[in-house]
Amino acid sequence: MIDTILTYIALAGQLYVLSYYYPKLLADRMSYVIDNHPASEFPKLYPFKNGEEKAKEGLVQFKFITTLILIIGILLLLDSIAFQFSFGDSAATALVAGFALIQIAPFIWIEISELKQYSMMRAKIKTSKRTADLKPRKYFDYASPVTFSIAVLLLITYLIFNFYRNGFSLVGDGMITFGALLIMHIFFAFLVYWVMRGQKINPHLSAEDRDRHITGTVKNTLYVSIIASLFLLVFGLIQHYDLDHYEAMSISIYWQLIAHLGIGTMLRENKLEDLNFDVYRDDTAAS
Amino acid sequence: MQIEINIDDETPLFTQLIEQIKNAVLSGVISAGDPLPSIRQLANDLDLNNKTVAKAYKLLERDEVIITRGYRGTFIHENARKNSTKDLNGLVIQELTKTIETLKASGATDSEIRIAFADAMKTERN
Repeated sequence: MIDTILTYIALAGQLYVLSYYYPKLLADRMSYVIDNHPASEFPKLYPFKNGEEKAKEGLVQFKFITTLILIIGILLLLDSIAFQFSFGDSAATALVAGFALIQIAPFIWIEISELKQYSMMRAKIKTSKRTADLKPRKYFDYASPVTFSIAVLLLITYLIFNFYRNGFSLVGDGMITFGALLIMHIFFAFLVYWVMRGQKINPHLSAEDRDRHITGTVKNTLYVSIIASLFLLVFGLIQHYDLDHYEAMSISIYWQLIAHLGIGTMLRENKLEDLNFDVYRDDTAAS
Repeated sequence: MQIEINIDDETPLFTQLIEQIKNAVLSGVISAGDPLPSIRQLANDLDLNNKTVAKAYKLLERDEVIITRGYRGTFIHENARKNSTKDLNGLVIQELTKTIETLKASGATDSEIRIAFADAMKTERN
């Protein structure tokens, strides 16, 4: 009974964090940017035709989708309470994990829209002057060696634990998890390399804001790596000790931590009051 | 320290880069031993071809303004300040102008000088 109640609490927390708290933070942030940086004064911020109107429409759509997901989530939670997850532990796990994917979809949509916006900004650049920092960007300028060491140690701990559970065999479920983890870390390595050494994603970004963006991305990947290793260790222990009824709860907590350390870190590292919006002014009006 | 290039300027991009780095050394913004960004990083930041930045770095290395230390990266040379004042390109123009004046005074035509210069360069390369 207690495990079921804990699962409800975790699911309620997941709804609050992924479908209310962070969507509200993001929506407030977008509202602030649109209200205080109109296209008339900051034309480079809106590279699309009728960009300000489109941004406002996008904000309304984002609020609508996240609210809709929240309502569906509340209904699912109430239904689960009414029927006490009568469909079984594995179905509860699938429900929590599947719903989390639906909850993060609006954030991915925002991220893709942002990339499209930057790509349009790049296409619209008219200035013939280009600037660069004459300072090499090194990984540990952005990452704490302690956090990095923790991430590596946890990853190694999990890999040893995984091999132990699989009887040091190179086949089976353990290898699938190992492969997924490997792909995730290769993706992180490419992502970090891209933001550090690749082309500026946002062409108008000031040097200081770019540093903030890189710091956010680097910290983000480290935190997600730590949480993923920890989660897999906990999940492995749950399966090892046949505590299947805690699976759904652990997955829910995992997603909430990912949101806090992933989306939360990016928002904390890129505070609106620190960002330089003057770079989006018209060149003739820029100071 | 920020460097700035102008893609519409008549000065070649690699020359602008060389001048900017030498100016940074002369003004003391960067000094001996300071690390420089990798070719790829600078090329991506300035949205230039890697080869343009590589060419600038190669010429700066030849002039002993920068030094490449294998995988550790590229650094400002210990004699960079002194070497940044050297204008090898200026010297080449000055010497060639002097030679052309002498040749013209001897009665050589523009096309004769051009063909002879190309031949001399070819011979030197072989």
